Amino acid sequence: MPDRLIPGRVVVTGLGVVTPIGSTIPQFWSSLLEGRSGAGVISRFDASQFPTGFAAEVHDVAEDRASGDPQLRSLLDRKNLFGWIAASDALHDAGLDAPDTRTRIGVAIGTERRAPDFLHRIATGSPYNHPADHLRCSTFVLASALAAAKGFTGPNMTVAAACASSAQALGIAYQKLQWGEADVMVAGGCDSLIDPLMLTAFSQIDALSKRNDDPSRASRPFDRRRDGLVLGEGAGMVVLERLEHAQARGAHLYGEILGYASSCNSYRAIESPPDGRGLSLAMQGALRAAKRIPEDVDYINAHATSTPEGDRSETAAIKRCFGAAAYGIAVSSTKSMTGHLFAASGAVGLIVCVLAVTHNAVPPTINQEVRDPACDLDYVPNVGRERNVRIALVSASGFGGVNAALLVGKWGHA
Amino acid sequence: MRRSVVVTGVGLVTPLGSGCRATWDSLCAGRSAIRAVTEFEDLAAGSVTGATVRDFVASEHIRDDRSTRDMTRPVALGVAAAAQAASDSALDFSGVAERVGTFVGAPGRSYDPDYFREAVSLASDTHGLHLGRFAAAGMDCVSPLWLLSALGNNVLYFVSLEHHLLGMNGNFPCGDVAGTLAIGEAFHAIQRGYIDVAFAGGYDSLFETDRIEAYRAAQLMTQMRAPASLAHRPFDRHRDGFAASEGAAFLILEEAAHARQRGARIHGEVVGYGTAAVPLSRMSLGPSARGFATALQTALADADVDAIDAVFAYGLGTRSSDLEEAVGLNEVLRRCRPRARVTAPKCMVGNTGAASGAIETVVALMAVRDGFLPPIVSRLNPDPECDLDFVAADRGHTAALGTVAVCSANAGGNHATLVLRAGRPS
Repeated sequence: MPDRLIPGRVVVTGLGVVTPIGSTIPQFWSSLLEGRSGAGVISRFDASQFPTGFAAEVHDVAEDRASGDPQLRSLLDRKNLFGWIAASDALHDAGLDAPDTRTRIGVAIGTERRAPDFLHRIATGSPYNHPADHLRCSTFVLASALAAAKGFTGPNMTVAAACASSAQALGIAYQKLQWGEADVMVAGGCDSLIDPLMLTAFSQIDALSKRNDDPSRASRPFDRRRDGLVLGEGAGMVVLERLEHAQARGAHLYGEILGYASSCNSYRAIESPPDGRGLSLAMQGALRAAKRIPEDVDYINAHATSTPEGDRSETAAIKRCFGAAAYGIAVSSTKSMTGHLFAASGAVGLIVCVLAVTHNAVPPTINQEVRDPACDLDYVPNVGRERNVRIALVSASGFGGVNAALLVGKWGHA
Repeated sequence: MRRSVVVTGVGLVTPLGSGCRATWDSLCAGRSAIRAVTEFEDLAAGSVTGATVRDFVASEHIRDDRSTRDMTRPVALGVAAAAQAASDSALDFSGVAERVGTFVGAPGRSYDPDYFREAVSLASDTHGLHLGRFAAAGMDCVSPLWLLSALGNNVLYFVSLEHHLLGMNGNFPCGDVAGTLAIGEAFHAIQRGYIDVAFAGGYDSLFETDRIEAYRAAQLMTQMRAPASLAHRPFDRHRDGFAASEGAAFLILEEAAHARQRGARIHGEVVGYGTAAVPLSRMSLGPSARGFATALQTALADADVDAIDAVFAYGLGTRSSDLEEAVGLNEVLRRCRPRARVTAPKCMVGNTGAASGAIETVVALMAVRDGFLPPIVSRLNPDPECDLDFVAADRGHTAALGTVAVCSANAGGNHATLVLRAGRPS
């Protein structure tokens, strides 16, 4: 028999982040409100001769901060360890370090297979020769390692949708909870593109900012002088839970996931359509699923990566979906501070939305100096502000022309 | 009243041929595609026992043949299978673009060293790679097309572009469960009313340098070279690993009333989907008996059925996985009378990774249609510890098949099962 015949309600009960501007929730949130940038000269390898030599690196997390089964942790590369740490933090935050064994818990991770040592391995001719290598270089290893470490036998999903990965993972987790496939889902994503291979690939498609003389001012989504994205790294993980289950155990409720939708652009692989139609379909779908109207939304955590055409396309998408109401919404891109976290960006964006609805404040888009006439919404320029946030939306768009949007509401708000 | 989900289109590209007919005829005749594969020169240390898709010309299968330039081999296989399925369905997608979902089981981003060898060699000496030199001189030798060609969701991209699809989507790089997961997620999405139609399938080629090396290091691949055709030996006493393979399969899933209303041909029905993340151990993860049993039980419960007529086993061909699968499936199947017959198409197709669940689903649908289960040609010395009602090695099994299950697992200990049923006459 099906678990449910009508979809139930889903709440957020735990948060965890690893980012270039803080790897605890309080640090992350205060950095966001301060308008602090995490960008700087790349420290982990010599990037001085590359056209772009800076990025937003995670500095404050030693990989040995990861606790738990060393055997399983040894399977995880840097970005997967970020995910592991953020997931552990989120579970702890939710009070689920040692859940009741009857609780059905699943995992949904948005990430991509990365190979940070690829160029070096070609140079030295080193093959994969360890019995665990086939797992280490699989995309699904984090989802499996988390499930194995914690005994989470529920739905176990890995989603690879480029920059929309973790937004989609969260959406899939949300839907599985709605239909009763699990009681709890640990969901989010992790990524790191700060390696010579990705620096090369993104430089070659001219996607990166070249503001080498002033890295902290390079990521400037929507600003007239934006010249490309800033590579970032990190993880965002969230504990999602069926409402009845969360209430029964007296969990703290951060907010409620109200709707999710994904869409395709059917346009080009690495460019967004100027009219923003694909992304607006995802936003509209999320609103429809939530049975809400544009005027109900107070804050949008935009995908906007600081590329000339991407930010324009997203502005068009927001207007297409929200119409005149778009001008009343606070829209900020926290990538102005964290850089682009790629597969992790949607999850970190959702966490920003959750913090916005719980603290009634919206973080800024920093580095706003000159208005771009094509981008004329309220991007919360440079300084965060207080605002009663009833409902927030996070959007994500990825290479391959895929989009996702999630709505989160203040708990208790009708 | 839950919506029913039927299969109205299928597409298949395997080492046994392109199109469903070629693969099915070979399986029924017990013809294996597995051989000594020597054509991938850079997969060092001699040959690999495996199977490859032969004589595949992408532009013969893909309408926009300019786009095939940006496709790696496995991506082209996937796009070709999806195109076949779309054509087979005779569905006009333009009227339903936002209500069509795309769900793909994928291998994940690819890393082909050929794009980088020249650049790296320019920047390296006996001490290794010098990044400064690489950036200054080597980078210019790297084709900017690498990023595009290596995208982990390229099949989803090309399929959505070809058919102007705008709706719900998911791309799952989940190893050997990926194809099964994609079909299951599509099934639930239609059943729950998010969409009315879906492309669902998987694609993969294990013949990538890094992966063959890694599988070798884990001793997962068969070492048997002669007769290579019988080297992938599921549930056999002498089994020693899988035959590396490649291929793709796609289905068009459709809400049943929608399909019947337009007079679509119905290949069968998807009625259940279940998963379980239960690794064998923390040391080596991998499939477990409890995982196989739980995934099957969950899928049966989802389908609201107690018994099935046949199982298409995961049949990885390794010592551990096959034993775990036999124990796990037996735990569930021994309660049914008569016990379901079990077959394992990998014995002739090899391990097609993220495509396998999708390929085996299409094979299962043909089996149900024809009332025939292919033989397990390489199971010549049955392992007494694998106690299931297997189809023989020397002949297939003829029987009316109403409900069947397709089982998959991955190296991380994830398991997924689909339950399929014959299409009801309209």
